[in-house]
Amino acid sequence: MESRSSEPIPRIAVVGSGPAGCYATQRIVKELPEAEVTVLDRLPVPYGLVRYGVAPDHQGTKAVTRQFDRLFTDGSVVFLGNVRLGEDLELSELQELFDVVVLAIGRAVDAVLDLPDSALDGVYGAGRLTRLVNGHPDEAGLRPELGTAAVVIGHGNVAIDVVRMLIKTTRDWDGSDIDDEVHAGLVRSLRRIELVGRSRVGEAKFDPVLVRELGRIDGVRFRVHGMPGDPTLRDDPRYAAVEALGRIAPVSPRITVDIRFGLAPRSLVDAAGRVDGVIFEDEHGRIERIAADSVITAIGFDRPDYLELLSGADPDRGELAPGLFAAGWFLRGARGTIPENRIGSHRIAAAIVEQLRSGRIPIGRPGRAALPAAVLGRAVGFADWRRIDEAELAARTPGRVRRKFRTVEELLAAIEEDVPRPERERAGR
Amino acid sequence: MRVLVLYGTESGNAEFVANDVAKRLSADHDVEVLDLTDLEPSRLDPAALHLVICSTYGDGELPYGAQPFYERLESTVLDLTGIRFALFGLGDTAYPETFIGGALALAEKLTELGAEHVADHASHNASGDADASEAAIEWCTGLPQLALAPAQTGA
Repeated sequence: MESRSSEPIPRIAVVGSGPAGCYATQRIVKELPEAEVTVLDRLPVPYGLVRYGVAPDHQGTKAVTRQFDRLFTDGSVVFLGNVRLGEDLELSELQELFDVVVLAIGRAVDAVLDLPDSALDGVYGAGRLTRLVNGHPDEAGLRPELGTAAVVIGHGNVAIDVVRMLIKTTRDWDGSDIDDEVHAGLVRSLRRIELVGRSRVGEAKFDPVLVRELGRIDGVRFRVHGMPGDPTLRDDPRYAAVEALGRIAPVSPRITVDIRFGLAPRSLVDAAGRVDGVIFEDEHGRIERIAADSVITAIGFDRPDYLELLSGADPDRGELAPGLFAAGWFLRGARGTIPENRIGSHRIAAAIVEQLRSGRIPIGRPGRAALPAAVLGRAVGFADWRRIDEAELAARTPGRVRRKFRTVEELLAAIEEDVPRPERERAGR
Repeated sequence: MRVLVLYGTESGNAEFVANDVAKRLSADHDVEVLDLTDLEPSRLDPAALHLVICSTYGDGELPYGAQPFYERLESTVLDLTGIRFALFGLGDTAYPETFIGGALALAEKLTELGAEHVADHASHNASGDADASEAAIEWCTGLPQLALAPAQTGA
């Protein structure tokens, strides 16, 4: 679209194509249809946690990407994947080229237990495992050994997702895009899972809907510990959901899940460099030792870099510095569902639009066309992503909706492959 | 036909579908899209057909975007007799017990106040294969109230 006369248009770079970045983009283009918006991602594929965080069996939740697709297919927003902030491009360069930069870069690193010996073999972050079963290139080489007994530490939705992923068998994954080979390796010997957290059931952060979902899987025995018969809890849906699990009597259980409340991890048991169990302490100081071959921590996410930019940031409007904004988990910490990020990102976008309209942010930087040739050369566009998408869909096996490519090399190669014409036309340009 | 497309959203999916529905219908009808978040019950129009597009969250609950409208309905003194609507619920059979529960609660409240649903409640399953916007368009263009009038005037 030609701009009217030679009047400059706002040129905006959004770094990160997960929900936070896409919702911000959505609101910006709605308010400023003339703006040039470029969405960058370090991976060749868009959508961040929707693709790699939402569990493979929650395809309905992933459908939010249909909204985001429209941003790119309508032609106004350009996707540049395979462009890594800090490697292919520095933040300062982006700030030079664009009137506004929005950092929606997330927090992908699993928080670690603040314990001695938390670096033992057999200790895994829940985020890493989720990425692994979702086929994330960063985890392509990871082959966790969970053994026969795994302790999952945490009482949030991520912990419940992990438990569900570990107790499901092949048949239970119908309609998903699970990496079957990886999953089989994870659960091969698993017979017992301990789900342990420091919170009491009335403080637990998990969504009871996810707990109820566990009860729909056949062949699992649930045992509940540390949940008092407190009558005031009867109306708490979390209590009800967990209590209902305890009443399930499977005919021939193949796996047992022990659910424990009110236990804080104090140390890991070290057997020649490999974890052998976890020592917990309850609120009365009583010690409980739980044997395990592996430990999975689901205690939050963080990131090692760019956090210094956040000092003094307004968590509502996301402004870090003139023309520099943050959104999503990067801004507010790793809390917040997809819909919560919609609200946050729309608010930040509104702040950006207001500053552009008022002139508080000047307009006139060169934008996307001035990106270095090396960046534009390596960048994967949205149409390229659609080719990858079609190839993954075409490669699906029975009972699976797609088969994801596991490495960046495979993803890039899929762009070049000859895809039959009808699929290419549907993918669009 | 005057059509008010009302949406109750939380992730933006219902809004997205509502806008696609409106775009399709606006070729043949006088269409307006309204977010339930800010909608007053007094804006409901006996001369219009109301297409209610609503998702479901949590424990079969209304989405964040529909809750204010529901609360206004609970405290309104209005009689909604003469208000015609049709419901399209967005749900996910991954959560079967509460499938479109939120949308149904909204429809029930409207009916309780006297509104009339002119068709069976329709739904879309996010875990299915159909595209939600396509399904919604197919549904509403099939409603007899929205059938094309013969020899419509051109642009």
